[in-house]
Amino acid sequence: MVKLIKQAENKIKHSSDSEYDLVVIGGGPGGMAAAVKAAELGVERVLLIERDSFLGGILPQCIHSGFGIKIFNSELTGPEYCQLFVEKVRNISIEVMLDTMALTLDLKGDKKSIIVSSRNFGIKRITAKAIILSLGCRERTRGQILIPGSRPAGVLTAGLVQKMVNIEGFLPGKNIVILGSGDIGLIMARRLVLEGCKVKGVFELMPFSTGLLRNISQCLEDFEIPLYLSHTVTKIYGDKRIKSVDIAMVDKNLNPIQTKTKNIKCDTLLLSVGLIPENELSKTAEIEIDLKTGGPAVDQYLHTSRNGVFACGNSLFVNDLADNVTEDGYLAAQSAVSFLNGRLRSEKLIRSKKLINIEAGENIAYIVPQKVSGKSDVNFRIRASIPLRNAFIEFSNIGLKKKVRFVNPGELIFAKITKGDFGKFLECNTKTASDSIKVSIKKEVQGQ
Amino acid sequence: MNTIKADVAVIGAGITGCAIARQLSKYRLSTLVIEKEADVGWGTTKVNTGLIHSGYAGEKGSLKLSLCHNGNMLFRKNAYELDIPIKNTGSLLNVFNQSQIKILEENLKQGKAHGLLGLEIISNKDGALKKLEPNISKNVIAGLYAGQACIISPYEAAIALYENAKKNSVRFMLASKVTSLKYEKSQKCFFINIQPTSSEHSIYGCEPGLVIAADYVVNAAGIYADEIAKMVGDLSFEIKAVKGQYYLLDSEAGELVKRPNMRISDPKTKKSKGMVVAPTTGNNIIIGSTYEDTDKNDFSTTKKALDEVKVKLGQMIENIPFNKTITIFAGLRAISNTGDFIIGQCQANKKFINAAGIQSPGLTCAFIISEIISDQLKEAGLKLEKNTKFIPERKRFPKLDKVNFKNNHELFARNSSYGEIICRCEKVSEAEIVNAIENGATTLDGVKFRTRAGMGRCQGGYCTLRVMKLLSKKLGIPIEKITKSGGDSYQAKIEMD
Ligand SMILES: Cc1cc2nc3c(=O)[nH]c(=O)nc-3n(C[C@H](O)[C@H](O)[C@H](O)COP(=O)(O)OP(=O)(O)OC[C@H]3O[C@@H](n4cnc5c(N)ncnc54)[C@H](O)[C@@H]3O)c2cc1C
Ligand SMILES: Cc1cc2nc3c(=O)[nH]c(=O)nc-3n(C[C@H](O)[C@H](O)[C@H](O)COP(=O)(O)OP(=O)(O)OC[C@H]3O[C@@H](n4cnc5c(N)ncnc54)[C@H](O)[C@@H]3O)c2cc1C
Repeated sequence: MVKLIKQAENKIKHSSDSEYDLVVIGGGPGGMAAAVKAAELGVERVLLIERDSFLGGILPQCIHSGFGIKIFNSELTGPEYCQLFVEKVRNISIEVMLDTMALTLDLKGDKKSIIVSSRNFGIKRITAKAIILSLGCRERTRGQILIPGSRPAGVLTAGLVQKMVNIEGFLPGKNIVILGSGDIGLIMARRLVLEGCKVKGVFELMPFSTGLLRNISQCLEDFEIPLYLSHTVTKIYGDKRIKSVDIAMVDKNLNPIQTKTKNIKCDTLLLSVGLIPENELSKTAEIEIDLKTGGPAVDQYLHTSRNGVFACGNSLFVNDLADNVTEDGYLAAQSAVSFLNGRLRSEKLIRSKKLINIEAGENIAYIVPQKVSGKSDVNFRIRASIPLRNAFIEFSNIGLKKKVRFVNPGELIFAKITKGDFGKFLECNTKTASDSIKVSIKKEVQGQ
Repeated sequence: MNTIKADVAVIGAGITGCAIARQLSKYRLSTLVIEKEADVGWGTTKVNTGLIHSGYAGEKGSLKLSLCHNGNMLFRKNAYELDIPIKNTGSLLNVFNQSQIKILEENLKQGKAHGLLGLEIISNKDGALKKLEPNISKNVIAGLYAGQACIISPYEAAIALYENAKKNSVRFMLASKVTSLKYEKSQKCFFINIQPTSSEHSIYGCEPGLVIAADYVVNAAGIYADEIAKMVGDLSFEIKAVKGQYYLLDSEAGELVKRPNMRISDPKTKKSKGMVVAPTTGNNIIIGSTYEDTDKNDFSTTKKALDEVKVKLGQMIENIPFNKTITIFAGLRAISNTGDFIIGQCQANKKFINAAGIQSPGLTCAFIISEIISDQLKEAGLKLEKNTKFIPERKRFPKLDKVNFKNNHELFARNSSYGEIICRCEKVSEAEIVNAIENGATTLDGVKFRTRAGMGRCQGGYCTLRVMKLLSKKLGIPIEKITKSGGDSYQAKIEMD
């Protein structure tokens, strides 16, 4: 069990006055980075709102190392990475409200307002000139993937178990089956073996893992935990507590093969079957959501469809690395500052026709940003839908191809397109600038 | 050996047992309810459509038909008294071909004969049905609208009855299973042996080897009512379990239907019996159910049956967003060999009263059955003296207003823990959860059914640990002893070093 790192306390300067320049909602790595950067860039009144009693989001429960390689040039644990940002928050003039949940956004009037709730002051309205959403993500549940069978205790999502084991200090059970090879599932397989549990296997529906390659080798292979690709749980048994599961191999169409079913005894089924950006709050303000990412559709400034509201972190799309989230937090802060200074105008709102639509094409699960102006360089984040070797990313309408040697759904791909590249597109399409650029990943044809 | 005395022991705390308990609390009696689950309403009562039928359907001469309409009216009256969530939606029974219209006409006639108001056959030809239910399929040619039907929250109904009965001095012994029972002629009373089903039996007031001595017994044990009856030598009926499986959709599926829409059953195969798409009082959509013979301990869902639901109901309602499913579940109907309710004194022993075979519309009939049972007890010799201290009303603990948060200032002023949101999806505050525990919730499911914490789209991913901590603190038991639903449904197995 880990001791929680020394934390920021509630820091509120003018408790009577609840008008802010910038309010950042969500105190994970994305939110902390955004708030710190905005203050560094001179925004006067920044407020960071977090519903938990500590900052860091999911970092404190990620006690393994693998954080900070990009941002701090060294390999840190989640709590260490968290602590470095908590220090920054403490040492700069940001106000912090812990134990405070943002319930609704109201963007109708002149001022943007946020209704928040806390045991410290009840229900309160806070107003802001700009807002950054960094709400993290939630886990997909058993109901969403419709596993048949009984409904006993002991069927838990991997992130919840991670919190149980690493923060609260108790185990979910002894004999574990893990469904899904997402990163949390892989990390938890190792964690539970280290705690003396028997992990009977990690079962993945797809013919490939969706986790980071380094996690497969460090968490499974090093611990001799078997990974079964193209397998799924077809039935859960047990009255009050789970007793066993049926596991079946699946065919090409992902349908279970009846004859290839076996029963495995277990007292816990861990689900690591996907994460969904958290956007309850965004929905209260009718912010446009991209159905592919599950997060707000944004332009290259991470500006959502609502003027002055920006999004970053896992609520924008699910990231594999906290470092990337931190960088997006910085970007959201810079954009919010431009907005506050009147340099980002509402004509650049993503609903505007003047923007170029970016479409996710072949072999792409999603791409962010979803709209760009074409007037500045853009660093696209691309999530592939299948693994490929020796492939290239094709940007239609600008005739651009970028080589990628390894494409893996577990690893985000970055692709930088310059202002010049967009220029070509804008020039030859002056009248149809609202046309889209379709982005696809294709396999390099041999001999070309 | 410890013995507890009672005038009446009620076995089973489903909607039937709870309604009987509350009915008996109107008299000066010592009533004790014995329930094997850790909470009330966890048998069939927890898994059904929640439709308070208007009362046109059923075989002529059956109790199910003759009680249903009065049952409906009595339920609605009591729902207001007990603050049970209820919505006056009406219901529709939809048909697909001309020959089935005859069935609607028969039902209409039967309904009118039983005094139903607001019955009307609505054709889909001129779009009238479509106006009423925008998502109704073109396949549907007409529907029987029943204005007196409504929807309620069944488990909240059981909870309301439990709270009110308790307030009026009924004792409940939960997590306590009746293992055997015999009538002792010499002492003119029943001796009921109880077995705790939880290791934490003290919080339920139970202990191993406990015996209840009761003058009268009411058997409201749902699918196990035949086994309880056998204990006193009543072999006159059998109960078989018939499974129904459901989907529950996210509140985002919202206004898919405005009222329960039933699909007419295929009279030969009974296959589509009880198939319905309905709103719930909690703003979800419930879609089911199948009709499958099974064993009494089979609560499992199957892909095959759920696919059948999808197809059958997809023919009736268009654009059902099955991708918004939050959860799937199954419940068991208690079907007696007579096909009807079995209510009344048993032949073997007049002081043993059955409320058995309470299949659909059992929920609708809960209050009327409870009145019949108290009459039967009187007939069997029980003295019914009015309880002058009886309090009929019960109020729900106020919940946060999720639509208009500004309305919550007053709640917060009263109790600051209303500001602490424990369940992010359903916006349930600590105040509500603590109140639920103080009013009898001892498990995660108990809290969930009372407050909706954990019932939303993340299915407890966020609030589980928070609720476990509150349960542990308020009940004074260690966190690893907290269960999902009693028995050995522990969430945490072992404390680490
Ligand atoms: C098991 C696991 C292993 C990982 N391993 C690595 C690794 O090795 N290396 C690496 O770099 N990255 C890793 N990551 C990824 C990294 O931790 C995440 O990408 C990162 O934490 C996401 O940051 P975030 O700020 O977007 O979200 P979060 O960290 O989830 O923070 C969101 C915050 O917003 C708050 N919030 C949400 N809604 C509201 C509201 N309405 N009101 C108030 N507050 C709200 C939440 O309480 C939370 O604190 C891992 C993640 C997991 C789950
Ligand atoms: C799929 C489905 C849909 C339905 N839809 C509707 C509807 O829309 N409208 C309607 O009116 N009705 C409906 N019904 C019927 C309705 O749900 C039931 O009639 C009603 O819930 C029965 O309640 P009960 O209290 O008799 O039984 P239960 O709720 O099953 O209660 C019996 C209790 O006895 C307890 N018990 C059993 N054995 C023992 C023992 N040995 N010791 C101690 N306790 C014991 C059990 O644990 C249980 O809690 C539906 C039923 C099903 C299955």
